Amino acid sequence: MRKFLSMLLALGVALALIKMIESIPAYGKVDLSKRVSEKYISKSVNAFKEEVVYKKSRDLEEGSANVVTSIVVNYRGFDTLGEVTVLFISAFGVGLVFSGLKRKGYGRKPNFILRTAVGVVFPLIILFGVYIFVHGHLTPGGGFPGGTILSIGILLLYLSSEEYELSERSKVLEGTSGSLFVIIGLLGIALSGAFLTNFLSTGTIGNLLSAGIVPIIYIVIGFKVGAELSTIVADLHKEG
Amino acid sequence: MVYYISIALIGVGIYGLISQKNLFKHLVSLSIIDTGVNIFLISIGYVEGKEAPIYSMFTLTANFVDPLPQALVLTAIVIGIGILALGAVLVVRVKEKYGTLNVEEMKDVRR
Amino acid sequence: MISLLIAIPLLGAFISIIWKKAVGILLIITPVINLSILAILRPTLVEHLGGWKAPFGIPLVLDNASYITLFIINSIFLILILSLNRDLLDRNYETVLLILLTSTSGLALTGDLFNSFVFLEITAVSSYILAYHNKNPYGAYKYLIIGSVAGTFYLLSTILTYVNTGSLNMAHVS
Repeated sequence: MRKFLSMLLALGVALALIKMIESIPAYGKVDLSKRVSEKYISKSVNAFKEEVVYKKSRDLEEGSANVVTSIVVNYRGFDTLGEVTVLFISAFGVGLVFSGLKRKGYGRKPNFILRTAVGVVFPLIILFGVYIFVHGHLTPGGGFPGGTILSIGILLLYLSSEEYELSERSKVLEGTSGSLFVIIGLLGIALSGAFLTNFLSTGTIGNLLSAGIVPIIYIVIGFKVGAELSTIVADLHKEG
Repeated sequence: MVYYISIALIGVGIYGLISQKNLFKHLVSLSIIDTGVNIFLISIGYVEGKEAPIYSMFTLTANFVDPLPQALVLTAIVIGIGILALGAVLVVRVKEKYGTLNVEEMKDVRR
Repeated sequence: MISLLIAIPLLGAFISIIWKKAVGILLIITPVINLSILAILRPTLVEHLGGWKAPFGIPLVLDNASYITLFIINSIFLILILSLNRDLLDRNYETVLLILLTSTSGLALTGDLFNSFVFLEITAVSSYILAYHNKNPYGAYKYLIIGSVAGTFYLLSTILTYVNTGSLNMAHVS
């Protein structure tokens, strides 16, 4: 009886959604000139200067080669601040619900292959994670996948030994990176008049040192997300 | 065509949320609803014949799909992860306190 | 200047993890600073964040309705902190209260649809944590399931608005 009623309700919601889908354009035939994104692609929000060419245009209003990065960090940077706050508060909540004092082991000695391989693979994982968030304005990726890869390295260290514990310094790193993000925004008020403005110069598009404050913010976000997810992993291993 | 797949996922998630009795299966159904909505969001911005929105040596000038829904989906996926972590921790605490994860058996134990 | 109403409680919450003894002072100073900033500003003031003009950036709007809402939020917070019995509340829950002040002020001030979704989720997650206060995991879990399904449908409706009109700004859509 319960399954029949729930299937009716799910079918009802699906039919209502299908009725709403009929009024939007078909898949793949979207007219981009009616949407806001056209100005984001040609980087001409303030005024139309010239067409953007890779490795030739200099001193544009927004100099990162990855258009999604320029939207996430520069044009709509306040949403990224809210997202970082959601991760912060959920990691804090996991620490409150699961508080404990000492490490809970697995009950058996880890494998020999695992113990030797972690010594070789762990520095490569850290290097790969840092590469992804340093090059966030040139290649796909950015701060959030880079931080996740850093926390996977910490999880490997937990799996391969029975006594390893994450020290209290990860909380200091997390708090410092968060305050640094808000302080960069407040510096924007002091130097240019609005929160989170770009006050450094944007160089040639496509170089490593370009696009103003975008690489700096992505490095801060990468360390903060890595520290938060490592804190969640460490709190799940506690007892007592 | 892709729109119908994402609506089917949302329907399956709602069916699982109401008719199942195990508390952990509620959490998995919530994750299925989140995945369906994110797939719908990305498929809004596709334009036929154009490429990924990055200026590189393969696309020197602009010929791109819509980049704004991709930026919104980045935020939505991370928010879904935060809620899932909190829910999983609460399920472990429920099992420790009541001894079972079945909603029917919990009605007798709580009296 | 409007963004200081959101940035200062957020900075306080991030500092309170490093320096656990400063939470008590921060909880009392922050609404006092907010109320004094509100006394200086006058209604109908718009600040475009990042310097990008609307509808390409995110605006923060202080009109008559949000002025009164912010005044009520800050004064209720101040009365709550002054009359709280400190021994009943665990020391760790005070960071959550600062984040709650940030997100409710942000929800009242914003002028962008997706930004209101993000602040709604911050408010929801901090209230899931406060629902666990009396060691009640089953009640908090029921609240989490219902609240997050509602948040997902809110996101679906903002995306349908973007597809039909082409922009995400509240003043541009209406």
